[in-house]
Amino acid sequence: MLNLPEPIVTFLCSIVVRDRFPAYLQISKAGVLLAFGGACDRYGLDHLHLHQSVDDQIFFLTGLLPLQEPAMHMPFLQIAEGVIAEIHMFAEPEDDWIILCDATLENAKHVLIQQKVNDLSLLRREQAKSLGHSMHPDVAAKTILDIQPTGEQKSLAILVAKCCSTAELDAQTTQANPLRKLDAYLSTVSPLILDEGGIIHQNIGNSIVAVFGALPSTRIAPKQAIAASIRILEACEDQQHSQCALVVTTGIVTVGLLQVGFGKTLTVIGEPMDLAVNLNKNSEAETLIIDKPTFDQLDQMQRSFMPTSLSGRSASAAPLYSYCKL
Amino acid sequence: MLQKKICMVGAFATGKTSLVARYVQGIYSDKYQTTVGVKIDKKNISVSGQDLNLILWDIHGEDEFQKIRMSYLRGSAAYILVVDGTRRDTLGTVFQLQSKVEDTIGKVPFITMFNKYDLSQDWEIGEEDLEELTQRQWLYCMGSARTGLGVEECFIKLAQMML
Ligand SMILES: Nc1nc2c(ncn2[C@@H]2O[C@H](COP(=O)(O)OP(=O)(O)O)[C@@H](O)[C@H]2O)c(=O)[nH]1
Ligand SMILES: [Mg+2]
Repeated sequence: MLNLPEPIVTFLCSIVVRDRFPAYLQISKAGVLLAFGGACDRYGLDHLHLHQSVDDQIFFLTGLLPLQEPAMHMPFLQIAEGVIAEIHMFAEPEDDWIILCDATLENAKHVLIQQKVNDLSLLRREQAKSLGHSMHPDVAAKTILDIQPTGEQKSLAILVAKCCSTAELDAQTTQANPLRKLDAYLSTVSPLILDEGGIIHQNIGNSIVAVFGALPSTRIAPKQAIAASIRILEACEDQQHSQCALVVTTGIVTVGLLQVGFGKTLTVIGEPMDLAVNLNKNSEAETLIIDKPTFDQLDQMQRSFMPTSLSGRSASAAPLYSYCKL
Repeated sequence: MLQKKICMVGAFATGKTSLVARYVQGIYSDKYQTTVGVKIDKKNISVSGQDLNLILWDIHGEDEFQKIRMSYLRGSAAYILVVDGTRRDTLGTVFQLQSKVEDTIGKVPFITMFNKYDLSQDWEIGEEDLEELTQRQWLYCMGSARTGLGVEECFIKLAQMML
């Protein structure tokens, strides 16, 4: 075994046994408990009866046996109050074997981090909601957004995400209705943008424009925009029938609040915005195109981008890069 | 006694843990405690004169860092897709999850629960969303783990579909 000297193996085994409270069950293909041992009572498995069906004795196994696959691993399973087990199951020709180890401490560590992540995610949503609805934009600009309502120069990253699968209009079924598709697309994309610290600026036709760098963050705006873009690409890949084309630009823009119609809206003016909107016109499905100022700030992430030229652009135009999945 | 495994599936913080706690223990808390992994509970019920032992698998929610392990769903006789009615994107999440679940365990009965119905002022689910469910021939119900509204009915309806 791994060519380790005997004392080392013994020592490692003793640590596992000491800290993890292993227990095991051996169960026939017919569901009869053949053997058990170790710290079963720790997992609420006291009063086990040999040579009887496991169905009434070990309820977490309901539906799982006999094992359909050679092995199964479940990292965190709370089967008794206050104890979380890590469970390995594997199939032998005659019987199935189940090993339980205590993973309560390991679980607690994960919960700590996961709780923070989820809390923050919910908080962001709340923020975005109040920005969009109830809160007066002037107040929002001062308290939540890191901008002057009267206008200021700021370096922002701009992400334009186009939904490419809205073209065909088929009024027969609502699922093929482009509006429904765009709606589904927006509800997939919006939380990803918010999660990465962006705000949704507006939607134009089948594209959504988001800006990064207006909300305070410890990360620089282009990195946030790229992180959001990559997650959007992945999410669209996961969802059948939805394709997207993405553009990210970075640079100094003028931001402020402008009276439009009956309300004030966030307004972003400048070359990076024009460039992003222009590139978006010709961008193709499943691509992410970025400009040089964005590229220059990406550090190691630069490795995932290759220089590209888009048809219809003059040779003198500033260089562009496109994302290549590694 | 007939024993059936039922999984709770959905985005994080939609109320999966709360629904099980409400149904099994009759308790509710506003404090959010995230689930990592699975918590298993039992509930004995009697549906249409048949005694049933429900083994409820409360699975952690899907988010950026925790993708749901499909192996947790193995052996499920049915599942509940939980949507937070005040977060419309959690409906999109169950659309995605449902097809993954079906790929893993095949066609078994399921029901969609729109939870947090007590927060009607923040409700984000519209008529057209429900229409889409009808088109997909998905059964759904509205409820609230907080008030208890519709919770028991949802589990019973699902149990009836399994018999
Ligand atoms: N208002 C309201 N809040 C709920 C309801 N159900 C759950 N919650 C809250 O939503 C948060 C997430 O619930 P939880 O059950 O942990 O969600 P899970 O991640 O899906 O297991 C908690 O703060 C709950 O108190 C409900 O019916 N109404
Ligand atoms: Mg939970």
